[in-house]
Amino acid sequence: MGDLEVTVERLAATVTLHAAGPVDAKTAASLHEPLLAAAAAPNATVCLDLARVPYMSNAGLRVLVLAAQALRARDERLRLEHVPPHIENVLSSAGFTSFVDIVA
Amino acid sequence: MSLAPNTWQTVPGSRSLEIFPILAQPSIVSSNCFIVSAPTAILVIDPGASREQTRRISDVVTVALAVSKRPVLVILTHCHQDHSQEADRLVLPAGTELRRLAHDAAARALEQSDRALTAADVYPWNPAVCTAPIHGRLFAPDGACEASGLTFGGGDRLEITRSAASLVDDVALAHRSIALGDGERLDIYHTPGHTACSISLRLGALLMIGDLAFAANPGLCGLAGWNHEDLIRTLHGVDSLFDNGDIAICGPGHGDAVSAAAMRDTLRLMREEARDLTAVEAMNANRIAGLKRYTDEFLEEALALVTILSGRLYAASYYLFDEGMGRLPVPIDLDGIDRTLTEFRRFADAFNGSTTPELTVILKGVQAARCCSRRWPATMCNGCSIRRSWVAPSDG
Repeated sequence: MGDLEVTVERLAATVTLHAAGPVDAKTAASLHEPLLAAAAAPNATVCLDLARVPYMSNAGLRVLVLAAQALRARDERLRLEHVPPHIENVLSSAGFTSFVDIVA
Repeated sequence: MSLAPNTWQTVPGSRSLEIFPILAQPSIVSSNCFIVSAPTAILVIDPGASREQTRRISDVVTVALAVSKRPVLVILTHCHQDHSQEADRLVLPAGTELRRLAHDAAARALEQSDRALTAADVYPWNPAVCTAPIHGRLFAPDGACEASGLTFGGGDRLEITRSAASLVDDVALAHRSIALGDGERLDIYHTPGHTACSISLRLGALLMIGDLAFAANPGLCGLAGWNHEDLIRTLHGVDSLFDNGDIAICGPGHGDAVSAAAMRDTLRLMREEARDLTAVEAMNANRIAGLKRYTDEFLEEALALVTILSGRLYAASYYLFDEGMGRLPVPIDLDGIDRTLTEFRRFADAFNGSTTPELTVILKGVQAARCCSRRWPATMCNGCSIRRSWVAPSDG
């Protein structure tokens, strides 16, 4: 298991961040900056692609909440794409599905 | 007071003893080594099991011998592989007289290449046991084969003297000593429990206790030679050594040296925890495999629990605060627990495909569980016992 790599893709009014690697206490900072920057930018839908994230810990959930709060300020919701089932279970159990959208 | 690694320094509480500690990264692969320069001999206490460490020891001792030629005593605190494997590998200048010294039971285990007693069977790479002769056998039960001294080619002799053990709370540690010149001496105490052949060594205000501080560790208790009664008696006896206040620092077999006060506290806590370990299953390949599965399950379940719990708190934060996490009235250091589990998960992942012994992962798991437990409010884990759950996972 290595580090987390985050690439940012901008397409029309959508910014998609593709994460690859674990989002944990060691790596969450690598996601924090680009995701919060995307969330703070006006008028863009923000998607986070988790297809290549093997697991997400406490530290990763914190980043998601901060991004969701920033998006809420402009009536947007964070979209999570290709969420692995075990991470979706955690998000669902933790109550995140009430303020983030999980899409296929 | 501390011992700086990889440098010569005066042994605390002595006038003419110098020590060069080689403090290895804590692991079960190789132990710390303490090299001591005394007027009449150079001591190499626990050479360990690392070729690189052996080269270092050989270099340091060679330089010390160039200053003053003396016999070299290799002393083993016990026969476990990680302390003893390199006991016959030192490369020293021609003409150097080397003698090995250990408990009689350690000498027998090594001579017979006993893979269980030396814990060689724990390592997947099937290491060879050091079968080099032990010249000085200590604490032999019948006394007949016990060394009364070590004789060298030039006629020099280091006498090993027996002295009456002090009785404290009816607990006596069998004791030997070796005069090292200039009024200095090495005190040797029989401290069984971790193994039958465990000894502790005192120089000035420094007490080197081998692996005594780890003897009640759930990943180590039950190894061949481990004995609950002996351990409890030894812990009482070692505690009494601290009574006079003239021991300042302790050197364990793994990890950094610690103050005598801290070690005494650790050993007392351990004594309390060890009291229940009366029916420990023997540590064999099956038990190790079972503990490894238990450790893996602990990691997955702890991660899931902590992640969901913290996730629920973050979800509450989302609704309670416009931005940021704010402060929720939860007395749990979830971030600290997350860091501990993250580190452990990475360690466990790195283990897969490596030749690291499974026991290493188990010990790391116990350490992670303890760390999480300390960060968890006591009121929220009544009845939990990390020790009990690892010692008897099926009941956990």
